[in-house]
Amino acid sequence: MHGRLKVKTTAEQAEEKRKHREKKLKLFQGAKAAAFKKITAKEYDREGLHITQEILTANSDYYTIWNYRKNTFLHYKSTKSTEELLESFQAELSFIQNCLKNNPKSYSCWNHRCFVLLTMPEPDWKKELQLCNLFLQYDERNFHCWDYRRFVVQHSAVLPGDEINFTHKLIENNFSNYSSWHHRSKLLPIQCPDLNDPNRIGEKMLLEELELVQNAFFTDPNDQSAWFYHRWLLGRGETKQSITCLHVSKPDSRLTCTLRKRVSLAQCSSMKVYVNGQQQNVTWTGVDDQKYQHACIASLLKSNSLWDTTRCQLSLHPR
Amino acid sequence: TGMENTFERKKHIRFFTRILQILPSRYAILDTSRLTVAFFALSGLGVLDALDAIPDKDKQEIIEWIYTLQVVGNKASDMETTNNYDCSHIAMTYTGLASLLILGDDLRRVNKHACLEGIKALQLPDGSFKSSYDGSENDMRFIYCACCVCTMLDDFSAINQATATNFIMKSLCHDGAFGQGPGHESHGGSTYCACASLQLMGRLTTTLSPKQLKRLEYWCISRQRNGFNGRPHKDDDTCYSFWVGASLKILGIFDLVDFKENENFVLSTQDIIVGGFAKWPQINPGNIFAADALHSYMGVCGLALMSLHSLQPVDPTLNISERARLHMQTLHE
Repeated sequence: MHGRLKVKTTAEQAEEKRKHREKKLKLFQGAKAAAFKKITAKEYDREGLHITQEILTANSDYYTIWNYRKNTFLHYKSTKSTEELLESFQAELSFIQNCLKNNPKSYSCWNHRCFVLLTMPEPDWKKELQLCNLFLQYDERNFHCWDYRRFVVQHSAVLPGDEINFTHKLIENNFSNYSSWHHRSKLLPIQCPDLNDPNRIGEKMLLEELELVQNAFFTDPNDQSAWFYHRWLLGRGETKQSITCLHVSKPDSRLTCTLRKRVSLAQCSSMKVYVNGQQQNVTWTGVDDQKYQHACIASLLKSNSLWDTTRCQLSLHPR
Repeated sequence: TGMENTFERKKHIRFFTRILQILPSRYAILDTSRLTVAFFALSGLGVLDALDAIPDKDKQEIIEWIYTLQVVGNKASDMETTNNYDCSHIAMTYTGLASLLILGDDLRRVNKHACLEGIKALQLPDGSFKSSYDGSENDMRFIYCACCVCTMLDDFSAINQATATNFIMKSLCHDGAFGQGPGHESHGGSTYCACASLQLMGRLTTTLSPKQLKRLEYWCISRQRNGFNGRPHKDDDTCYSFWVGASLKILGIFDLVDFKENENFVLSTQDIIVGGFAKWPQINPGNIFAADALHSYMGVCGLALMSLHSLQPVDPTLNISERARLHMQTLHE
């Protein structure tokens, strides 16, 4: 599905191709039958690994077959020595890497690799980072590889700081590196969080980032990465809800409340009104028919004797 | 070149009917997802308003074939497996049910309980779904499939909507759109899955704040250069005329799309000899990239969203024709 090339053939070549495909199909179907025999019988052995390796070399997206290999390795974990296990797992990593070379965007391959790293004794996370570097050289927008990289960083002792430096290097080489900026947007809040919003960067780092991103769009004003990142840096996080103004009209027995953030009428209805400690039964309405309102109005009972006093305590409890 | 491309309706009909007859070896890599390919062909014909290109006998055969793929029982339930397949795959369940609806089937032979139990067993504690019980990656695509299955079976009780919504929101990125999961880069495909899932769960405007909706709208509309791309600085690709186009429909701002540019791009990716659409424009008549089922279907739907070429309207959330959706609704009554 990812842009296979078409090649013109003569009738002769077409027939040759057809015969070749028939042969391939027979082999594939034979291997598939043999593999499913193993799967159904739950036979986890070297023969099974051999058969499934053939199948996956032809079709590395065959998730059922990867799962057989997964079960085989889980079986091995309880039956083989650590040395043998390590050898098997390392062979598996080589095999997966070959599959990835032909199919670098395969969900199944990357997913299986995660399984191997989490299951094997003594995983070499440094090596995995190098693998990521390699695949990012082929295609720096390969999000499968970036996601795998985040998995490696999460499970190993790699410091956010080191990863941030890595993104810095990539960005300096080429400012138009959206995936690097994205990676950065996830790492910086870990290293230097905004105390009000864990998804945003703290003030201190914010200014440094602003300078970096300004360099980016001064160098290449057409690069979208920098502008989206810039927008994120400048934007405040979600503002906290608060009442900006509360107007009480005694003659009209009406409260008008304006809020910092717009609310729907459903959210509005959760605001409770207390007059001198007594809860009032109110219905909030909006000022127009927009779904989200900045202001809402509530009518209080005219007969409320509290209106006669000169002092009354009004409290509102917004959500 | 300034040449206007014509919409090769007859060729596309033939392209899809051919797929239903035989899948060439080029599709060997998709051997595990034949049902999704069948769905692209069936739904494509539906949107082209050409389902009558399939003889009734063949339609019945396809329906029978789909029912043979129904897996009753998985490791989570006590029911026996009734066929050779080890366990189901959530995308096959979605496209299987959708295909049945498109063919006018009444879903009477669907074991609704087993199906929903199967979906339930795939949801993880973080709210996302894996694709099959034996294990797979888990991400936004499968949340979407789950929501579609629940919609088609008119029963959301099997899924935890709160945790699913939570996972979706955790996948929001700095640029306002959605990645495949928390930490992942925003992408047109995952953004579509997130928007459609929230819409199907009836939670789009109650979950996203007005500010978040605005940011999301901005990111989505920015995907259009001529056609649409799936991420900033990537090439336009036919399928995003649907993934992003449908997202814009769901967000209510599809009218901001430049219809002419979008149409020109999609039509430029047509294979005018074989029919169907490729992901990228055909640079010369000799064809550089082959048309494939997915891009052909998405190309047709991308045009259908703009109500062009007498195409049937497409429901942007379920990704089937409005007609098929209406049929589904009659089954729910």
